[in-house]
Amino acid sequence: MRPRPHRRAIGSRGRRVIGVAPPGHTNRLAQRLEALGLPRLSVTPRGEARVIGVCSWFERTVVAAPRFTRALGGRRHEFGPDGPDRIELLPGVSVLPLREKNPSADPDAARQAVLLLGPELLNGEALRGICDDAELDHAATVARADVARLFDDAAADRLAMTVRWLAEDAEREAVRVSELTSLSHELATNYEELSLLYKLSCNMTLDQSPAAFFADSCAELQAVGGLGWVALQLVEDEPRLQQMAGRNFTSEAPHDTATLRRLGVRLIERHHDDHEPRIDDDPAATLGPDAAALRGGLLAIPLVRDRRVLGVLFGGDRTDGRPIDSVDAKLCASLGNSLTIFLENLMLFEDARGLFLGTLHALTAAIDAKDHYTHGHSERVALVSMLLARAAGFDEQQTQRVYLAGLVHDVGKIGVPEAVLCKPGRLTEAEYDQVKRHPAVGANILRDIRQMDDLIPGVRYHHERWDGRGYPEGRAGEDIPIFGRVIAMADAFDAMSSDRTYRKRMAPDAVLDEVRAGAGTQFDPELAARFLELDFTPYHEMFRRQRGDAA
Amino acid sequence: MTTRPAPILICDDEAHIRHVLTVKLAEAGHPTLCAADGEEGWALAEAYRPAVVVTDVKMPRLDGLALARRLRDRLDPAPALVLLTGQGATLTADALDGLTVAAQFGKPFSPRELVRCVRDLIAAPSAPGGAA
Repeated sequence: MRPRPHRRAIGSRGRRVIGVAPPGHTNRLAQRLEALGLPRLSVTPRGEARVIGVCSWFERTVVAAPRFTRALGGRRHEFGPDGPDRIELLPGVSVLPLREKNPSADPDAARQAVLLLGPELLNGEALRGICDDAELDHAATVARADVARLFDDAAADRLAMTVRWLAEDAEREAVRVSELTSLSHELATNYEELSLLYKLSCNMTLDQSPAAFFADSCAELQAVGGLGWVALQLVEDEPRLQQMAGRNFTSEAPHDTATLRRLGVRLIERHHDDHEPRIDDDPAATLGPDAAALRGGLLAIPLVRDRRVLGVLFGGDRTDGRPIDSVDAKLCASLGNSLTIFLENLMLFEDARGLFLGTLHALTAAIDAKDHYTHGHSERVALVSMLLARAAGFDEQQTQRVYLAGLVHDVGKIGVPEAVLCKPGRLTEAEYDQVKRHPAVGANILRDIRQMDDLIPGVRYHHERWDGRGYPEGRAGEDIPIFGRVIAMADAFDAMSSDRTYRKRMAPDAVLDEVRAGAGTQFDPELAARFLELDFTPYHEMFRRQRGDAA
Repeated sequence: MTTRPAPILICDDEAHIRHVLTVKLAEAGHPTLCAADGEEGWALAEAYRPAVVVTDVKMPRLDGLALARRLRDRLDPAPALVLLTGQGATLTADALDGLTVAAQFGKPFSPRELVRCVRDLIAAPSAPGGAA
């Protein structure tokens, strides 16, 4: 017989016995309780009672009530071997410890108990069967608990009241749990957003390739927002975003780049005065037939800085089929804000980089203007230094810094009189001393430009020699900073390869022979070995181009 | 013998983390157990033999790493271990000191990614406790 709803059971002086058995006890006991339609409890050796295998009405009305759980938990120490013979858990609800026939000596052994809600089963065969199955002393159990007094009419009334009270408690709990669940869902969504924005903010360094950042951002937003696709369209007419102008960074977008670009332009035009996020339920109607494939609606977030649209973030087709709503818009707009900040940083970075490179080239032009004979020397040294640095295993960032150091390595020649620099014959000792000052002068010129701090060793030490016979300090071996060693080699190579006021250029093979001969005396032997393996095609091309320019 | 899926044990002293993980794991069909510190986590792990333990590192009474060592030393098979670490930092091999960790998530973590990770751990044929 399956149990009925509790009101019926209580109304007829419901007869319920709930066995409390240790976990892992005989399956027969469990089966018997199940056959009687009775829920059972298991008590761990620590005395923690947990309701298992309960029927649904009991689960809903009693077990689900926090008051029942609290009562069970609060009195769990009484389930131990020294506990009382009877425990009234709640009014009308008692726990009756079952006596073992052969008490175990093991203090950790679990104890048996029965939760009582009615007398008949207790006195009848059912309890006897339960006790037999669990090898418990039925007679002793019943005698010691003075069972008869437990089940008078007053007790039954108290029980009915308690069960009703527990049922109300369970109902309130159910409401609380459902509210908690819905809050937890909302919280989970917030976590996703938070983790997305956190991840993006960590990625928002300018070291990373902007293209990779945008593509990652789209993919993350698609996954977190549960969107079918996401696309980012940038404007084409911003020179500082030239690198990515007009490009699309998409994640499974239903449209090709050209279509998205058209849609983006149309949206930007349409909303040039209004930079709010847009949710468009029927894109085909508002944006024309191009947008017909956007069946699931369209979300568009303009990326705006100083009233200027830098791009548009699109999304659409929620994977769960729900229409796009304001929560989606909020998530996309937060991401849009981050992307806008990134774009702005990118443009500021481009400004700074442009100014920096412009300054370097102006310096280089100043040197070249002074010494026509070495026209293009700085750029060639920069190029060869870069090739050598890369071959020597510098990372890309360091390689770029070597290039810049190569560009400005001779800036100190500004401080050497033209008469000396361009003198066709042999220099006097005094004149040569003036020339030898140019590395230190160059280092001084650059001293106050913080962004060039790391380039200065390349300038100051590009005339040092591996064997210590160079200038200005006569440093030797690895005491010479690596930038200095790299540029020294590129500088000597270019000097030998080009015409000078006092001699003609050497043949390429002869130059390489000189490099080979100078390894370990003039040059760092390891760098020289890498140098001899270089492919000089770019160098010769640059040279040809420069001669063409000059002509 | 019925094949009841082994539960996922969540240990974290922050209640909101427990709620979110319970809801999300339940939604994905995983039964869960919750503990607010390492000792409680250990008691539940010993009684219910979870397939996966998702634990915060910093907890009162018994921290996540001590709990993980106890799980490894006293349970066979030991459950797969997923660590939740603070402020987006992941623990180095030194800090883990020989512990086998299936995955680490820095807070704030994405519940979606964590649920996917648990699902993969359970699906993996070598998942400890997965076949039991």
